Amino acid sequence: MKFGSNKNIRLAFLVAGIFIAAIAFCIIANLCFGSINLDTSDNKRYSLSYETIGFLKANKKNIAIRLYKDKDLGQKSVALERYAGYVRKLLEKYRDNSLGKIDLTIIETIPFTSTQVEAEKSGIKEFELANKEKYVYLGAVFTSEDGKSITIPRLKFERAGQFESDVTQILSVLAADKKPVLGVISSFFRVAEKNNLWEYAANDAFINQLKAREYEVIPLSTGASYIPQNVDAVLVFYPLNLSKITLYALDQYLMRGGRVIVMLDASYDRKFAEDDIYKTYYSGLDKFLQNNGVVYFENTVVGNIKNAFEVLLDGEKIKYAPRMIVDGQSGNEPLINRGLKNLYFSNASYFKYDADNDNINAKVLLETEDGSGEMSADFFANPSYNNFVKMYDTTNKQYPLAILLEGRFKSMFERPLFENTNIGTPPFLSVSVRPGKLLLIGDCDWMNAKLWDNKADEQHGIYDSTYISDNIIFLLRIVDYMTESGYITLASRKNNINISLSEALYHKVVASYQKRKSEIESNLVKIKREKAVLEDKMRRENMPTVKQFKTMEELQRAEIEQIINLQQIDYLIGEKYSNYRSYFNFSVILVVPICLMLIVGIIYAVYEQKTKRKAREYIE
Amino acid sequence: MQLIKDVVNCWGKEFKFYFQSKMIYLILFVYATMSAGFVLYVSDFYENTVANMAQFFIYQPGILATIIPVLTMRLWADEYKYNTLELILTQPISIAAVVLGKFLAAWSVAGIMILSSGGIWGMVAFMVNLDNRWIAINYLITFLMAGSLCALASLIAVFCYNAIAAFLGALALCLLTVMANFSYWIEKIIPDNVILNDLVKSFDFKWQFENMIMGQVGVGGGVYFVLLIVAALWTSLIAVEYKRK
Repeated sequence: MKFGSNKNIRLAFLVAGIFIAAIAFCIIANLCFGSINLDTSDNKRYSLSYETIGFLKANKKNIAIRLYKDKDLGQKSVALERYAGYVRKLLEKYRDNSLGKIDLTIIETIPFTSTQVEAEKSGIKEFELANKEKYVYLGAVFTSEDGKSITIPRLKFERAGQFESDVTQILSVLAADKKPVLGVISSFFRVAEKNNLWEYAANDAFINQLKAREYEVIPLSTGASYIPQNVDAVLVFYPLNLSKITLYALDQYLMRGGRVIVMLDASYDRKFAEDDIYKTYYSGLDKFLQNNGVVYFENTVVGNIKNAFEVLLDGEKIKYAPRMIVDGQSGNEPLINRGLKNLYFSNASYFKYDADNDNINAKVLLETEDGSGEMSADFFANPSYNNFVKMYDTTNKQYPLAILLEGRFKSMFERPLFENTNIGTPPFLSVSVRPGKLLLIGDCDWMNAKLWDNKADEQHGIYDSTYISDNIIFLLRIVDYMTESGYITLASRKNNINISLSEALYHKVVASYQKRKSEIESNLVKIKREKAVLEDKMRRENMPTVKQFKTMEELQRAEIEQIINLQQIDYLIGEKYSNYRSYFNFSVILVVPICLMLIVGIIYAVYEQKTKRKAREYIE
Repeated sequence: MQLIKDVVNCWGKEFKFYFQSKMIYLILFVYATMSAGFVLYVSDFYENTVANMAQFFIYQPGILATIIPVLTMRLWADEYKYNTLELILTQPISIAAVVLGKFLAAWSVAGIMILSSGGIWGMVAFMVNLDNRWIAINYLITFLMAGSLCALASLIAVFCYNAIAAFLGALALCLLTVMANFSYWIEKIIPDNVILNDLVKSFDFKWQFENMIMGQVGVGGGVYFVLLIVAALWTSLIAVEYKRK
């Protein structure tokens, strides 16, 4: 047989040729256009944010990144292997956008070799996996040209949403030449110092984050007579009992081109000012702000019914407008609020900016959206379902919640507060000699974890704040911007689902029993209280009466009954949860497919009938 | 214009045939059950749900590679069995229209099949916040991937006179395509060769699909699946023409 004369052989060659050509074309397409990707992921997970790109372009220092990854990661943990792929891709984007300043090396660790030793020496730690796999490493080391080094010992999948934020933060710390200094004036710090709680306070997430980013945080007294020259910005929050001297110091600091961040709850400030007992707590900041064109409406607080939280009030579930979620504005400059989606606000004070000073430029950073309204600040003293409904007045106005003023300010003082300058204060200035910055937030509770994290154990103000919130990101960005430490490097968090399907199902079941459960729990508390009172009474009396014994017996019986009821509900919740899970599985595996078959069948039957009718008509 | 008309006619005939045979109901049921079963019992879906429902999509190539051969096994085998191919080819209709029409009919049914898994999406979205836009894009990517498997399976069908043989051949080819982890083998044979590994990845079916569903919809991935469809259809066309000669 002559080669090639057989048509089957020719066909085989042709087919092979086509597929080889397709593979070649595929390789060429991947080589040429492989880097062109449309990022379809949630929050553009595979793209660098504006903040990061801005930082990378401005960075002047050489930084080396070493990514340590287990060679057999895919066999040990598929989820980690996928995450490692994501990490690698993002780090490559850092390198590509750094104008040659970032060098990326990927080191594959092999157990019992020099790579493992090197990884461990660099601070990379082994993962403890549920499947008991050993020597699993995935971590990164960042080293700057001046020898500073920061290690992420374990790159955890759970932190995927914050990976970019973490890396940019580390790079910005390595790139910084000097530590920015933030002075903090707060009654909280005064109380903390007085009660020897400074260490406890230092554990706070916000302060911790600042320190991790190489900020120097200096507590300033609420009676401080001047702001030290080395302070880059001053943060004033929970400003109870602010002395006139400190107001003067802040005012003069601003005149010298200082940057002041004020977090003030004006309605509480008014309450303190009017109250005989608490009037010493009054901050007096309203006059300082008024002088700069910011006027507070002390009797009003604002809310947004559309983005309100659901809370239980008088046993009824209502949308509680004073707790709301605000989205950051989308403007380019400044980048403080870009991409922040869930800023949780509580009891925001209403203020407006009305300055006659043309030298000041004002930018609203946050404001309420459609569905906003206002209500009397006194409502918070005793909220109830009825007065909530009556007192909330929807105006649909956009109320500013955070405002940034930049420019040359005028002093609120006409003359120096101190005639005697021996105390070391700088000379008095009636107008700014350098442009200053004043940023105002209409709420003090921003660092309160209870507002965004339902799992926070107790409402301890700023103690238990957590880094998960966009609130903290916003505050850190504010500090970046105000201290001009370099760049706003904090990228917005990229969303992760932080609740599993089983948890969501469980919450659904619990919610259906919530009312009954809370009734029983409150009954139980009542009974326990009555029991405690009676026990106390019986202990004090030498000879308890028979009636008292009987009442005690009845109370004990009632208590047991309530406990049994509670156990019953817990059992029912467990039962219902497992039933829900079975229904879910059953419907997904059987009911949905059967329904689908029926739908397709019905559509086809209708179509067939129609065709038959047409055919019949045609024949007739 | 005529080609498009012919393709539409051919597609309509084949598509109707799927529903007349009642086989489609069984296929839909098996696919929906398999998808749900893998998601619920293999992927630990209750504890590890992520915003893009990745656990659901990761299993799709394997499931579709098993089911698509059932859709395509009778595309050409029946024509050979009843000698209707000769009849079709004597009609004033191009072979390209027949090949395309048959492929599009199989792909459309595969599309309906993929849509049938929407129940899982709906039920999960009812309970947790999912990124619905991302999931919708992942459905489109899965549809494109199913198209490439349909094209490969219909190519095998062209060569087989028997439906069972067409099914087995297509099953083998589809599973081989989906499971062949080229980059893994290259890494085993020639370790630490990054350039070679990247080259091999560009025609690795699994890598391309996973890359796309994880949020990296790139030109490379799109070109890969489209090329696979074009190459398989072109080969089918040549094969049918050879048979005609």
